[in-house]
Amino acid sequence: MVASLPSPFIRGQHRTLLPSAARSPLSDNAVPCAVQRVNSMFMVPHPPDVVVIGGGSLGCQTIYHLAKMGISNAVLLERDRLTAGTTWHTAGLLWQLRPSDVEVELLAHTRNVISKDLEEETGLHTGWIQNGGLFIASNKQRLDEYKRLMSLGKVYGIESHVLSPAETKDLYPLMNVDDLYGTLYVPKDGTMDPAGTCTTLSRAATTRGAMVIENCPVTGIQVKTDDFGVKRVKAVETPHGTIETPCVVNCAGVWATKLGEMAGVKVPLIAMHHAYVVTERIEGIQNMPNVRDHDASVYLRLQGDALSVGGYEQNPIFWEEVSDKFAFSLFDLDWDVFMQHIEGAINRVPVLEQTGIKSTVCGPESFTADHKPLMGEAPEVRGFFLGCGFNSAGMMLGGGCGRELAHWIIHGRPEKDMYGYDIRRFHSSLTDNKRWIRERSHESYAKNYSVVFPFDEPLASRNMRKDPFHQILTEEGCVFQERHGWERPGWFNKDGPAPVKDYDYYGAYGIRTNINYKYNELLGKEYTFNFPPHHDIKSECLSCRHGVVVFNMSYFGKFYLTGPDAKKAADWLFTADVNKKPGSTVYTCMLNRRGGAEADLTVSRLEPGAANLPLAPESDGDAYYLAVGGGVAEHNWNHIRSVIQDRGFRCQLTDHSEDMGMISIQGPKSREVLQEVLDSDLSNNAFPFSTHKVVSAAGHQVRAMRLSFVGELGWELHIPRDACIPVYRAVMAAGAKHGIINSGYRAIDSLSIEKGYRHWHADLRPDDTPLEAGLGFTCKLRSSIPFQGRERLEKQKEEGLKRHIVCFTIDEKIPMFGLEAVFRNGVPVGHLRRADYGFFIDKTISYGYIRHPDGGVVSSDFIKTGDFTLERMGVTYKATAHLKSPFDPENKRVKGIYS
Amino acid sequence: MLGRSGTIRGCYTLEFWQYRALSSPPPELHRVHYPAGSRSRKSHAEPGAVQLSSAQINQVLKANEYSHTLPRGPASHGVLGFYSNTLPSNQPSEDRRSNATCLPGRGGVLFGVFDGHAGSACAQVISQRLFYYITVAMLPLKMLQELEWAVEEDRAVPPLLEWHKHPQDPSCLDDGAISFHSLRNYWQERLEGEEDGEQEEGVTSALVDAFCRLDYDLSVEAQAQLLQSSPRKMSLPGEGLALSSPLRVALSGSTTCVAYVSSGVLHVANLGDSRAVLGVQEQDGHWSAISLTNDHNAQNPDELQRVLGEHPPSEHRTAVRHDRLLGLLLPFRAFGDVRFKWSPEMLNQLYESGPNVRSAVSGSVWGLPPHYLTPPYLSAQPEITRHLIRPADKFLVLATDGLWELMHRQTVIQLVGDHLTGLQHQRPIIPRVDMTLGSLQRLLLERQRRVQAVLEDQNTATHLLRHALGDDGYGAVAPNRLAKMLSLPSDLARRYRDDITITVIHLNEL
Repeated sequence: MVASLPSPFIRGQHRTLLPSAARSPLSDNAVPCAVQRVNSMFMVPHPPDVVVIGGGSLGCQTIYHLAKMGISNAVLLERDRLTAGTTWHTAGLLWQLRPSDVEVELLAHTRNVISKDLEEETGLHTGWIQNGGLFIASNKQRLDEYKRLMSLGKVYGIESHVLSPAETKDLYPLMNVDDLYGTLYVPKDGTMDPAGTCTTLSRAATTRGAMVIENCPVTGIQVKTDDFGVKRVKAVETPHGTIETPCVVNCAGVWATKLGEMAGVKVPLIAMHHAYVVTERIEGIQNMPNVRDHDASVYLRLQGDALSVGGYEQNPIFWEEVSDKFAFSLFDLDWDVFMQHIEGAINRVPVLEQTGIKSTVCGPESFTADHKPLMGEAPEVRGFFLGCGFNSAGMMLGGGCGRELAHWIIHGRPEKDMYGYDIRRFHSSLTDNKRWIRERSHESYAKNYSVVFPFDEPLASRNMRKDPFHQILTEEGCVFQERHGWERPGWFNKDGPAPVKDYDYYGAYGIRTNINYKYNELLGKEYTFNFPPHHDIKSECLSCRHGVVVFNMSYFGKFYLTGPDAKKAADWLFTADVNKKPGSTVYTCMLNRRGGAEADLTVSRLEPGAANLPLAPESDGDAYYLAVGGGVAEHNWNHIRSVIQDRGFRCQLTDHSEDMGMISIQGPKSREVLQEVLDSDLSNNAFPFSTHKVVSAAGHQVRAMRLSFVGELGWELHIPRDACIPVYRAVMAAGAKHGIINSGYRAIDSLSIEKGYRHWHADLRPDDTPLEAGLGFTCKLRSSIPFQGRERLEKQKEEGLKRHIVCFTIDEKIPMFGLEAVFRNGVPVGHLRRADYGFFIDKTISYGYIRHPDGGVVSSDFIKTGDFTLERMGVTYKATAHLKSPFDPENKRVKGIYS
Repeated sequence: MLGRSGTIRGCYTLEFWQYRALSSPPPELHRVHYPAGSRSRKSHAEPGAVQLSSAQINQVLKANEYSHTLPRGPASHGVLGFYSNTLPSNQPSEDRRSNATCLPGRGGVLFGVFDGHAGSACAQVISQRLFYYITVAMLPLKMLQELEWAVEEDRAVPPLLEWHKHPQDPSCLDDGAISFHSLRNYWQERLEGEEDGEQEEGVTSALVDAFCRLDYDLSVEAQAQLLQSSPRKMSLPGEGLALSSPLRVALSGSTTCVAYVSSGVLHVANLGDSRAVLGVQEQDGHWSAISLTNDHNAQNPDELQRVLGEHPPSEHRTAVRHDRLLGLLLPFRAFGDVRFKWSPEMLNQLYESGPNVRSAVSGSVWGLPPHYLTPPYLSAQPEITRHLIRPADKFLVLATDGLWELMHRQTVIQLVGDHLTGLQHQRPIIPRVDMTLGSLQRLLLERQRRVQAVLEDQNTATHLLRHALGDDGYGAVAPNRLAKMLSLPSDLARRYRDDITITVIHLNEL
């Protein structure tokens, strides 16, 4: 199909070299760049496969990577000139170490692109300066966090050094080190030049056939509904004509929300003023590393022979009316807001006190609810991808994210585990909630430089989604965690209720700070990298192992898959054979095309019959009940929907998550308790493990499911909303004599890792195959039934696994949280994905994926014969590797065999 | 007459029938204004003076706070609301304030501050009666006729004013009969004499007329009392003149500054040295102060010329001496103060009257003033300023001289402007070219302290009070200084600060 356009598009080959007009006023690098102007006559001969909208860091990186991966006809549209929106005024810092393995990998790729790849491809220098990075710690916890980063860095070959105050002074003589606890020095960190990088990217992309068109605003996005009722991107409208394309990438920065609206796509970001100040010349500052003083919330970026000073304040200014006419524009700096950074900066580099101000840079940046970008295909419209909301890290993350985005577009899913950036991490009910966006974004912004502790929770915009047990559990002292908008039980405080209050913006903007805020005080006690005060998690865990506890897991996603092609869909979607007889429940994975695990869930096959909603859908054929972790419900939902759409299956997926509550009664005494409440025989013969049936509980119909997420005898009760409280009361009354207690997810996390169950997005991710994750038992490879990802698994099975999950325990009573480095015979082979304390085995237990240093197959011999050590904060601990969890390896307890 | 009560519903009252007894003791200080040289702002800790805590400071500062928001719509006449506060220095205070909405006729909103001298009696009466005179002066004759018929036929009288009062503001002690009689005479005369003039300029003449008429009535009422209490009529022992007795009122005095807002037009009628200053926000956001009043005292050359011009050249050296009328009185225009207005004969009759009259006034005002040759020396004719309210006119500050002697009008307007704009909208700072980060940091910290002071007070008038008393010389409040100013024993306080009364009228949204 050839779309002939009236004006401004040119064939890929006819491009002219123009000097970059998009140079940042701060930049001295003029990089010639192949960029099309709309004022001459252009034509696009073929509908491009992808139209990228927005010529900032992300847009340029995305089109570059698309071109590199073989999309030779992609088009980038920029309303003004490259970098004109927010990229041109970015500080351009690049740190390599962050408290996330995926982010470390993304940053490493950005660094490769700007320091190496681009120069090799184009012969142009991007403006990259490798002056190093220095993280400042003013207290022990901060230095602990840095030591964690250092250990992680070893796995990735990122050189870093923990320096004493004196060593820091030697490195950076202008620094005040009197109040320092220590620093982390990363010699190969550096500074990027936004304009130079973007122009070089666009040059490299156009060389490979892509088109970059400036001065071409997008005025509309056409969306069509296909024969299956699926909304898909059809075309992009500009004042110069309409471009047909099946795929649009929204890299429009602070304008991304407006662009999303054109297609009916929600883009939950908010624009704020973000500022830095450029100083006059400072003698002796040349070649000094960039400084990030987290405790003062400021950074000091080397700018030739001067510094740029910026930071994250408690009271950022929101940009309420995002204007379309803001190219290369800045706001007046509000010094009263900025002043909090000056003090920190002067304290760190005292010569600043006597230094004048050359210029101020205060521009809009887009911020999101969790200070992470928004990426991936929008749930609302197929073919509409997001690459925005970068929280002033668009340059730093641009290379890695541009590559992932390109992969996402071409292969349907990214290569890495991008769930932390995926728009699907937010439930669709939140993404247009203005209050939620504003409050969460504020908190994330203000806490951006806070230490990332393992058990922190947000205080902003809580209580968005409450299950039927919320009130009663609050009264029982439940300390909630926030997941996907839900309040889910974390643990139970014996000193009475600790409810979550309305957000107080930490007292910013003159808002009265919450006082006597017990929940906040409890959170504060856990801000440590030592063992957190375990509250009663230990007693909750041991009660589950020795007695009986009840978990409220109502936040679970609860979907029905029905329709004529339901069986076909189930066969294709799920790795396990779920077509056992009705009444069976199967634990299974869902894979992407590359065999990576997109989800794990339980699928229950239902009897055909009339509708008994919410407990059963109407069906005269195959029907399945899907129970998925509540924190990943949106992701599961969209994964299933996309597969159904892509394969053209005729079936329905319906969401009943909010129509039912769910409690799970677990422990050796669970049968005794439930036998009093349920009207059904719960013996092993009558109600075996991995089965389900609709039964009567205290006079209410519920679906009982014999399953366990903690490795014990137990049942889940899926209960219609209105029956939740009476059934819960009946269970608690029956359990009283057995000492039943409430328990929460902190206990589930500990119990499940002890048992060796996976947590998706932790020790099971889209970049792990079930075989690597030790979940081969969920894959129907022995049958001939095809399923998504099967080829990859077969290939892996044939070639042997190059990486494999391993369970480690250590004898020292030392906490671990994940990201600790794994060494085999002194050689780094991987890092921990997930760690916790197992109270039953009374050990720290952890899981990580290891590779062979030679890139060879990771056999069980390789694991058995190695001497393993784990490095935590620079200290190594001897570890025992297990092929199977040391807890109940014979899997007797779920079968009710306690001896 | 007494038995006839007007309709008193809700907050609408014809208040002069409804006076409560004033419980506070009679004034002890009878000073003809403050002595020159009392402006010393040097504060020194008195031995034994107790330093106030910040909570106590706030208690003192906020005791007389009052604010009111007018309902949006035509009835607000373009006034969004007002903040008011008063802080006594004299015990009891000689300042008064009044705020009210005029109900009938063209309507409008009235605000007044009144600074009494030689006692509070005059200021008290003016604060209660003047707005009725203004209302009557402005009412169309047809409505006055209806009012008259209603009174005559003993029917319910429609309310004239809706007062916006702090509950603790002192009320009058008069039985109301005399003042009502006078007011009724006033409207009856208007009914007999005038033609109806409802034009704009009518407001100016109505204001002048109301002022002059009230001053005339005070004078007449006092003369009537004087004649009744001639030496032949012996009063009982110990029976002094009531605080509100017409003689006492007329022998004391009061400056007056009244603002009247109606249909987007502001009129200010001024008598004496209180001031009305308009806060205007310029296009670039900065604040300008526009004075709508002239002080009527010796510092104002025009006013000095006016006084001298009203007396023969032979009196040039005596009519105003030491910047005072006849060497005694600071303001050149005031209500009351009949010993600067009456004929010598009348005054002599006063001075010869019985001890009960004499007891009403202190020695300092006893006896004919020196060189009292061609009375009246003192005028109650107000100076009127008319101003069309523009969108840039954000607020009007009315205050007695207690504020203006402590603070320049530009500072006052700036403080109110900053306060109303609040923290988020603080005027952006633009650092000078040669500023270092360190000097900028100090400047910003200073601003922050100021902003915190802004947030302390909801009431703009209180905010002004706090700054006026606690100013550290750099635009911020020094808590110590503020505490000292407020801890002064009452006998000393008057040397450092006068009574202060402030009303800030909010005219336009920022």
